[in-house]
Amino acid sequence: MRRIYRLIVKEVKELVRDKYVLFSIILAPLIVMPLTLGITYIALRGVGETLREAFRGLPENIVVVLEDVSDELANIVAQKLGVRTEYNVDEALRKYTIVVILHSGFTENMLNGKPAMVTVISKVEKPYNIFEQTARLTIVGTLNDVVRDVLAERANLNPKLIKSPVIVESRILYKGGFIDEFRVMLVYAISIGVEFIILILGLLSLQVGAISIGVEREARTLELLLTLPISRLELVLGKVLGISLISLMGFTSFLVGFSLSILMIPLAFTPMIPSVFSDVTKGFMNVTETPQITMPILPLGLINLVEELKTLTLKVAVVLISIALAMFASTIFGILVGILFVGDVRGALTSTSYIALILATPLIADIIGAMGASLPTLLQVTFLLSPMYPPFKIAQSVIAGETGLAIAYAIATLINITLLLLLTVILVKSERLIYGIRLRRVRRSED
Amino acid sequence: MNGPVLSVIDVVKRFGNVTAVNKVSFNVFAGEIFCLVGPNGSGKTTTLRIIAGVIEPDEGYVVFQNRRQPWDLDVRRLIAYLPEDAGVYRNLTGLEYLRFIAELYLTNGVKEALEKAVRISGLGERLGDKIGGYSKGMKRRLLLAGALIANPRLLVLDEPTAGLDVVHAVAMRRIIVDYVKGSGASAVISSHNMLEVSYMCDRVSLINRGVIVESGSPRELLERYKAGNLEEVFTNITGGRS
Repeated sequence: MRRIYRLIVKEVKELVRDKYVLFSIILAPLIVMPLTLGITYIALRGVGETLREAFRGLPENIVVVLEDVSDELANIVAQKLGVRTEYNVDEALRKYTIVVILHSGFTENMLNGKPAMVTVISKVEKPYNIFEQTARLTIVGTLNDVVRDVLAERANLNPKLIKSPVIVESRILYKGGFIDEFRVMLVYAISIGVEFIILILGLLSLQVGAISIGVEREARTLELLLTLPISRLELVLGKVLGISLISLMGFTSFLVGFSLSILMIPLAFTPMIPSVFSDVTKGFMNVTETPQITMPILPLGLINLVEELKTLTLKVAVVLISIALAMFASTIFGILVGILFVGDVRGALTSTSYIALILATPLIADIIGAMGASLPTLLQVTFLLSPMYPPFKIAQSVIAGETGLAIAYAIATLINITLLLLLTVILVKSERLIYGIRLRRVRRSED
Repeated sequence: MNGPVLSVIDVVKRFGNVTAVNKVSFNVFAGEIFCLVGPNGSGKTTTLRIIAGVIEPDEGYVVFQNRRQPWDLDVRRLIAYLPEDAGVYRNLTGLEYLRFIAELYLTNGVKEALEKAVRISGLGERLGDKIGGYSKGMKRRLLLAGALIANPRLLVLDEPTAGLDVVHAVAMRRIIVDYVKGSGASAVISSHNMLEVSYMCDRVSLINRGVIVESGSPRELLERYKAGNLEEVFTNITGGRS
């Protein structure tokens, strides 16, 4: 018992007196957790503000256009919606942000048990925003409810008996061109995929980078390496590119492993569950009416994609380059962390998880806050310091077709990498950082 | 007589409030093996690091072939530094390591240099094995062969034979002496092995607590202090304190 106690005391003293362990295990969480969660909360507030923004002034900014002025039910629906009515789409689009077009044959279709055709056109400035999309879909839902009530009253029916009285096509007018909800979702999904890749690859590079100096130190190869006839920049670049290659290999096997795991998804289901699941869904559908939104066989988004096939190769190339840049920058950042921990592998490695969390926060906040959501400007500028964020924004902008933004973020990435490289090259030169621990030991032995 | 190849002039290095090297000066000439002798923590390693350009002195300076520090890449090509307890890349083979060094130092003649280094190392077929599996003596010989690969004009060797058995230590000394005498290059070697020093050094400086306390050829020192060996000389000078 006493022997174990002695061992415990030794372990605790040895660890707690190591300032790097102290920092990474005890101090880092105290700083990192409030910081990361704080930013996440700000991002969440951004979501709320985006939604409020999306709904604000709706009655003033929304207009109903009747294709057939004399259509009976269409007129009643327009009245019940409590918004203004116009008769010319172009005119309406000039004055309002959301234009609801009730197509001709509205009454006739409905009385014959067919769904009435409605097109909702939303003029937007930030197209690929999942929360504005939510707001738009809510409008569609409201429209659905109003139409159902009007039809129920007219046909003297219980509203609950009427299913999907309208088919709504939601189209988004952005910079003079139309995109549809499908494309918004597509863009959003692809961005999240790219973000996921960058996060994993960035973390990988960060870790390998962080221990690389320490490993050389512990193997006692660092000192010799530093006297070879190579410049500091060559040294750092050689390390970064070598490590990036390893990370890339790691990422490839991650992708393969991940794909294999997708094949294993059926393992999660027993043959019984799908039928139970569909029953549950049916019951759910009967209770809550969901608006039916048209998904054309070839959605507008896809049509655009086909049209964009020529530029698609270029887009894919840019996205891949952005991923590589994120990896490259993260590796340098890792090496920087390694240097700051004076080549202490233990300290660098334990702190990497927290540092990775800080560096990943901008990406997480960006996705939570939706694309284009308004986070405080200062915060967004700080985000640019993360080695993963500006490259991710290049990819995101390119996916959304925002060339100007992509170029701006490419410049930010360039600045980010240059600064990181510069800082690393300067610090790798510092003898205090390279010899910090050993020199202290020498001093102690001489005292 | 030609001037010195290497001049260390009034070099001072402090770590916090401890002065590791205090106004150390010496010259090294062509074809000469100069040894810095002293106990652990006396400032030998720091002095060699300063000469190699790994760390900068707080005061004083170092001149090599009439060029003052900091060394540019051309000068660094002429200086081979072997740190004390220098490590190895465990997963490279001996031959891969030598090629790595050769290609960093040389633009042409890599093949010839490599053949020479293979001969110097004396490791034969074991060069095809990963360095991780080498004995300490083998690692040290590999590193020395790497240090000599590009025909350096100055060898800076920190305790080159520390911890080696007699066979490896003798082989290492022979390689060093042969190289310096054969090429007319210079060497600065640190050691606390007095026996080794008497065998291979042309001139010796005894260093204690960062200060050079005595200099001369091993023979001169023995005569000056009427001692049987350098250990007695050192004990006489320091009074047994270090």
